[in-house]
Amino acid sequence: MEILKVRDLTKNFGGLTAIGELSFEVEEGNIFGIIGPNGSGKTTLFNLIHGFYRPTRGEIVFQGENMAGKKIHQIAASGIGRIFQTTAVFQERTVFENLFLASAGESIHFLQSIFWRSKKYKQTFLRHMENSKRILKLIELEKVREELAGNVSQETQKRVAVGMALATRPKLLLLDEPTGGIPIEETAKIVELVRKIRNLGVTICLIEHKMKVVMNLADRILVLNYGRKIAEGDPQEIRNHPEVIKAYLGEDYAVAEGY
Amino acid sequence: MQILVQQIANGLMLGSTYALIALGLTLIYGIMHIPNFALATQGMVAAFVTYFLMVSLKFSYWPAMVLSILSACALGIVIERGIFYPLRKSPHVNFFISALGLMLILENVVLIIAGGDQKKIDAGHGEVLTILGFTTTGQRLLVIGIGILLLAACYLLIKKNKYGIAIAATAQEPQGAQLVGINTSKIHMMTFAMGSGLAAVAINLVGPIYLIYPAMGHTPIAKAFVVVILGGMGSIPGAVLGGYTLGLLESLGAGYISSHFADLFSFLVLVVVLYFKPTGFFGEKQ
Amino acid sequence: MKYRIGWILALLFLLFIPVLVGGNKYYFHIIIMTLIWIMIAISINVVTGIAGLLSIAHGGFFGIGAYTSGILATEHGFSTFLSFPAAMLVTAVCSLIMGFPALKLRGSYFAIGTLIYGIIITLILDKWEGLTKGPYGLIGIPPETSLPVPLIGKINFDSLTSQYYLILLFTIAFYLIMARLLRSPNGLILLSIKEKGELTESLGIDIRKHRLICFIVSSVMMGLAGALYAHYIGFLSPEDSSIYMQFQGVIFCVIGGMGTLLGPVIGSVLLNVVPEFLHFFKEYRLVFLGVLLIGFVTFLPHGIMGLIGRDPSKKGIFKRDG
Repeated sequence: MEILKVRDLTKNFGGLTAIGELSFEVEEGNIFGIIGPNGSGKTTLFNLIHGFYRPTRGEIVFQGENMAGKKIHQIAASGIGRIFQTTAVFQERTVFENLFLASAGESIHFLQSIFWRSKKYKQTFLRHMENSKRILKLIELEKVREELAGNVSQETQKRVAVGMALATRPKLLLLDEPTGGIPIEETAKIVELVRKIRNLGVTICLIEHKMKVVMNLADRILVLNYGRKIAEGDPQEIRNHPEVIKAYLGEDYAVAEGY
Repeated sequence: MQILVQQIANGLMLGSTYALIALGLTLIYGIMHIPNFALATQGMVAAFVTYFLMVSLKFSYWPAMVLSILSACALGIVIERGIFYPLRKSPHVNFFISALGLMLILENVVLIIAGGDQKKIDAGHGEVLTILGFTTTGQRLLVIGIGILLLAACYLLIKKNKYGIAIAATAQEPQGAQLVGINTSKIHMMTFAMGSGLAAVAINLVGPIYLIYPAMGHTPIAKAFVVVILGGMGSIPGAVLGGYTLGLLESLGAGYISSHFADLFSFLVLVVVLYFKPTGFFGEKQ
Repeated sequence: MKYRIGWILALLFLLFIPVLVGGNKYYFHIIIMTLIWIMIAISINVVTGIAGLLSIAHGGFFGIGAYTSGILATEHGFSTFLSFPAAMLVTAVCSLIMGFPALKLRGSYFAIGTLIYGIIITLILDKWEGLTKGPYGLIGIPPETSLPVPLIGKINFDSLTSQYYLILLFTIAFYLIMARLLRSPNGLILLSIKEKGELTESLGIDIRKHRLICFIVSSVMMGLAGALYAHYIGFLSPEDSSIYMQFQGVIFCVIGGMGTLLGPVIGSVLLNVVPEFLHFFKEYRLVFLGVLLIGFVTFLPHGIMGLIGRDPSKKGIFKRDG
């Protein structure tokens, strides 16, 4: 069962084609990796799925519904979550507040919040408190619950970001370089976390530069170059694919990142 | 027909003033991203310097004006280094708030020194002339003439002269500019000084026509901001065209609709335009 | 909470002000005006400190509220039980009409957009002489209509003391509303929008809706403050709605601490009461204000509350619970 079907997706910026006639499918429950050289359009693709950009042409069908053209918060509410490469948490809010925000989202009525608090309000509030506590436990950050997110380590912040993404109860999670900025020794923890999330029933789309991580985690991989698909398949196929090797030839970073 | 020509002439005069201030502001706001709300007030200070030079030290109009403009540029450099440079790493809104503080200081210092009543700068060009069938004063013509000359000079400077190009480079790509050896610090000071000077010219030119008083910067700066936004942040043609358009709009509005509601009319038009074209006519200069 | 004693003492002190002031009408006036400034500062703190929107239209809303109630009471003989809600309603409608398009603009553009609105409001109040008497000002605004109270009789509002208690009541209400908002989930949402709106949006939250509601609520607060001011002072002029009047409110918030609870209060009190005791400062008051403003923004961006605030890492919105 595909949870996400992208068909002929195209995004033009003026004369530049950032994404050109891209089509692929993501199976529900998979970890779907997206790789490609710098500038190949990976983040643009996420921006399109997430709603930050409007497609010039093409369809993004999520759970049977075409998301192209919808607003970010509508898409998020439908079940597509995203963890950003940078700026994934609110630095000036505590860890718990970050989680609560993600959990509660739109469900708390404004005026009720200030003036009279009905029983329904209290119930909703409690429900989100419980959800946040549960997620806090899941990402193992109970100790830093009241710390400002800006004051904790990068790796801890990543966990918070993951927690937040989970709190929105997404069906599909877009992870933009989850191991970015994390030293090699710590990447194993992140990999484990990603697996844990998938086992909760969340389908994951993953952008990664670290080849070892992608080959390890992904069930299926999509390779982009200049905004177009040059290969799609399981890790074994991709590893030996001539087009992929050609695209990466000469890229220093692949060597540096441990490929 | 008479009235039309008359109003157009008036509009050009107003337009020159607005264009000069807007140009100064687009340099400072559009290029340096400092929303300097005190710019017109800086111009006011310059006008009072002219007044002081003429009345107490018996200078005549032109020398006084030149000195006052130079002092405005100098003050501009002091302001840029002392107030805005330290804030370069803070959230953007702090520039605006500092500019407010600056405006309060400048306005009230002048108020304390010179008193609140309006003063008259007698430039000696107040004689009424009749040209091409419409009446005007020499001073008004001067405003238009000098305005256009100065605006053209600035345009050429930015486009052709090496300093001008350096300014544009610093605006678009500060780090790149530094790599090429441009002293961005110096450029910032110069840009700010230039902007301050332009505002000083504008207020000095209209000083003899209207009276000068400490709070006179309030309305012009608000209009200048609107012109800069509508013309496109950092766009010189935008600021100039916008300034003249506003001047003409106001003048024609005053002449044909009602002078009582002229100001209101122009602002309402600006709101509508801002709503439909939020990035301005010439877009953001990037 | 050990701070509770402090609140009770403060409240007692405030309740006894009329006694402490004795017959000195001048000081009484300063204190009442300070309360009004606190209300203004609180409204500005809600829209700018909490929601992160630098709106320069809010001075205009103060004027709209003031003039609506003033005109209804003077020209049409409305009682304030009607004119106050009317003032709030008119302000709400105006802010909805203005806020909706303005919130499409980002950052500086939004500030400039609201700046234009503020100027337009002042211009309309100045030029529409048929309605507002223009620059001549609206005079003869009566104090609030007497309030019938069972068993006690009527409370009149024509004395300074009664005005004081009335305005004090509203000031406390404003403070409680702001505190409640800041400690609520919606306050949390607004603060997150202020910090990183895009991230908030990706959590499924409609940021425009929240900003708009906050904009309108804070405008209505300004309008209400304006109405109280109108009936206290007794006359209005278009200057009372000017953007420069609002700048002062922004300054009080910045110096007290934008985004904090006590910031607007401290800022307003300090900058209204203290100058009175430093007579030689009176003439230089505004210059001093400007210097303070630049100084604070450069060296103490979190204001006075930032200086003496409690440990920031414990500043969570939710109380600790199991």
